[in-house]
Amino acid sequence: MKKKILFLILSMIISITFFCELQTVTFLAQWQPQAQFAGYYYAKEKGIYEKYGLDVKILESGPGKLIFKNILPNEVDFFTLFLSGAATKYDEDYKIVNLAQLSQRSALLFVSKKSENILKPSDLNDKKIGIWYADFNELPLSFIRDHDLYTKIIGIRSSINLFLMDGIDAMAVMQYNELDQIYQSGIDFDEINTMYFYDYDYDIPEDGIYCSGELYEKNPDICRKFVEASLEGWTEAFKNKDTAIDIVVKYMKESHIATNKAHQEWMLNEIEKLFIIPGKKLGILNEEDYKRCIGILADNYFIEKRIGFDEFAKNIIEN
Amino acid sequence: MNLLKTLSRIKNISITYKITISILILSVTIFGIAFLYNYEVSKNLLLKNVEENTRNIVNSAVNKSEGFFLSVEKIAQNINYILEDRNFSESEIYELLRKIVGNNEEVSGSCLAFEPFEFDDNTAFYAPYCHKKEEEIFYSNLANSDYDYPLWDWYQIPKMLGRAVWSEPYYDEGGGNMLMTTYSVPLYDPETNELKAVFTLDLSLEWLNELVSSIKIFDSGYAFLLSRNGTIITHPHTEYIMNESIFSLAAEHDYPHLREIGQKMINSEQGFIKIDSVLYNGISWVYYAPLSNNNWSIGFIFPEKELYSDLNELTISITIIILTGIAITTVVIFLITKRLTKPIIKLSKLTEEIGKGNLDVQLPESQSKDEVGKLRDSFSQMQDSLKQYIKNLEITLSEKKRMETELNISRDIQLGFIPTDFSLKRHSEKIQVYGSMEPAKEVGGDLYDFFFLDENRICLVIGDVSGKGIPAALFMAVTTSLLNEYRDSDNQDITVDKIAQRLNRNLYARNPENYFVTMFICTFNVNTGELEYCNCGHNKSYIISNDGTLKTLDEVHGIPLGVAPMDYGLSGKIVLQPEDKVFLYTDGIVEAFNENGELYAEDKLETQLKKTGFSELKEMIKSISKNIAEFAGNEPQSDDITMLALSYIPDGKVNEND
Repeated sequence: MKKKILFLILSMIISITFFCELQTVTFLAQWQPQAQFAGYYYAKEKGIYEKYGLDVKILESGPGKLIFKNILPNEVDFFTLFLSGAATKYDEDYKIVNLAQLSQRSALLFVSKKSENILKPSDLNDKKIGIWYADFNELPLSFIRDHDLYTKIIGIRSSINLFLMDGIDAMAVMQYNELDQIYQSGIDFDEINTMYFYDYDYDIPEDGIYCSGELYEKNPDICRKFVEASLEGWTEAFKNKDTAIDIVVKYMKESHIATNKAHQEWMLNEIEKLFIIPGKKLGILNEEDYKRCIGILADNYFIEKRIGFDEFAKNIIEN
Repeated sequence: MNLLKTLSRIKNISITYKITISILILSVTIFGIAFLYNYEVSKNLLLKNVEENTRNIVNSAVNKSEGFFLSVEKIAQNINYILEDRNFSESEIYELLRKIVGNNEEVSGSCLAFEPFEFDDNTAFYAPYCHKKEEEIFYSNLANSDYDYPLWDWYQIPKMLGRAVWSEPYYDEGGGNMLMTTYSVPLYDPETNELKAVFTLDLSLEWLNELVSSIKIFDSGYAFLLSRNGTIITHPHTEYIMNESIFSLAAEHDYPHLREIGQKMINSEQGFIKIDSVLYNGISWVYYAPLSNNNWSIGFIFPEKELYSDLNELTISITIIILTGIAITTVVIFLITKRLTKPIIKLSKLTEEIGKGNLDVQLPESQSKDEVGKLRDSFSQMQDSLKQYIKNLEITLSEKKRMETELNISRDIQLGFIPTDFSLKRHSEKIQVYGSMEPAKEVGGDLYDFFFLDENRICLVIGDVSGKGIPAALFMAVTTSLLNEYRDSDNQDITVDKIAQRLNRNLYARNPENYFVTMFICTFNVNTGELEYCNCGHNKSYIISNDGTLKTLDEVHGIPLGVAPMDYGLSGKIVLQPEDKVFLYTDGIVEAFNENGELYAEDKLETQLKKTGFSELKEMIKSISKNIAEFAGNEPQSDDITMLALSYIPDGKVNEND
């Protein structure tokens, strides 16, 4: 009898939790909190994830808490990656899948002071070029090889100070981040030259949402929910930029990261330009873009296999 | 000044108001200019003083900071010599770093980070590091998998630039809120000249923060420190520190001027500029100066209203004093002017009375000897003169009236000499006579007359006595009476020249005043149609023919009568054709003027004679008379206008009307 009652109570608890409790998932952005990830913070803060039945735990990200380097894909449910970075990792046999592609355009560019007179790729010859040392460097390095440039590559951790103090002649930067940092260091846009990758057949989109192939196989429904909620978060964040920026700044302060509204505002505006591209759908990885990326990486020996599009990209909101 | 002109043009405003308003405007203008000038000069002086003062305070802070940074730079230099000299063992390096951190209060950490494999051939990365925490010294090696020191700014920048560098400020790794900066010196192998290591000294920025925060001028002026990149290192708004740069604030508040100032500051410029932004309590002034060690910049900002608050208080007091002064001046001037103009107003009222004819108005007693007093005396004199003048005028007027009466009587008498009855005693079926005389205003000297000399001859006389007035009239009367001896008597042997001869003799004999008379005398024989005439200095006469032609009788047979005792023996003769008319006149016709000063002259007379020559005599003369009047218009008649005419109709077709 006692056992019966216990069983009843237990089954009640289970059924209540099954129907009412949110499913807890974890999320890790590929870099420290900033407007580049505004959509996720917005969805979390504004209850969009909850609406989709998810309790998303956003893990603290940034140097020392990087995916692959510090945290493995099976230790976190969802994470963001650059397409080129993800493809490289896939090639290293990390079974990850692209659930949704947010960025639809390359934000990479080489920036140089006007005095260097770097206007076209060949002008980079014999120059000292700053490129991220650890991550995000596949494409800049490929670009240099593809253009047969003889340059001195200087590994950069994350700061722009070496560039500002003329320790290097040019530097690979992100349009939405370092370009504005340079401007915020008092250098006017008419004092620098820019060379955007997308102008040289290097238009490789960047940020996408990934998870382990295992999670995708086991629970595609939760993946879909996460992607749909995140896309809604992004759409709302673009509509309510002031609120989105406030949320981002809050996250940054909690992580003790120095920032200011002006920079985050710039970043959110630039991100919107990368995400919302006429003729392309937010969340969908374009097969051509993928193939171009794989082609560049394979040609420059960053990957060995040319992984099939369908195997890699799930475009979960399309199905 | 235009306002003054306008004021003076407004005629209805009384002198009191004109003077008061003019002085009010003038004094406000003068005080206003002086006041503004004073304000501007004071402002500039104040600004200059404050600039000087700010410059001194900020520069002293700059000097202190530079000195501090320099002392750390010197430590690094000294160590540099030691380290470059030879290779050290691990324990020697540790001992050296421990001493540096332990012996130098300002240094909180020191590191000697080697280039890969420079320490020894087996160690890729080696970066021994000592740091101080609550007086205890800790030792560690920064080379580990999580900390790629060769990529960090403190290592990479001096390496790439080949010179010692102060780092951008950063927060202490050990947590806490301590702002730090690191001085990094690249160490080279003296032989190969290749980079061996980078030596660093960490320095807390607490003291700099305290130094900058202590700079206070005015109530809310504050200093702030910018790094080489424009990052805010110290600021009263602590949330700005390390988060905002002067450029991010400029971007967030869309304020390009702030960006310009920031660029000047990070370019190690020095300046004192005005900025206008809600960010800094409206209009504010900024003074900035660079730290030479690391291109950081200290700025000092204070609101303009505080700079000028004392001046503004003074200005308000001065304004109140000046306005009160002007108000009092205005009232006093108003009262004085009113007092001064009071007698003038009274005089003007009395003058109005005098103007109305009341000459006996009593003028107020003269109270002063000033201009107003003199004016009153002048008025009094004028009043007396007016009284005297009117009295004289009255006498003159009555005299004139009497004379006019007498003159009128004279004229009536004179006109009495002139025949007005043109009916003839005989031959009225063959001839007709008509004449008219319009005397000018005064009594004149024209005359005409006609009478039968004998059975068949009628004599017509027209004359003009020289001069005007009563003497001329009397002379005319004498002349007329002298003609009377021929009237209605049988004078068959008398001819016109004899009449002239006799008249001349008689007039000359009784003419002490040398008057004279021009005269045209003619006789017309009814039976023969002969017209005999003698012209004594008179104007010509006309014969108007039946066919409308004019014949002029322009011979002159002697000088005017009464001038000299000479003989008259000449005469002219002409036979009139039936329906011919003889027209005699005096120069009052041809010398009639119109308003434009033009003469009526003979051509107009002749035209008129041709036009009306067919009419009855009376009609003809009246129409000429009318024509002259129309010509003269409003021009007063200056001379007697006298006409006399005769018409000859031998067939007896003359109307008996006249």
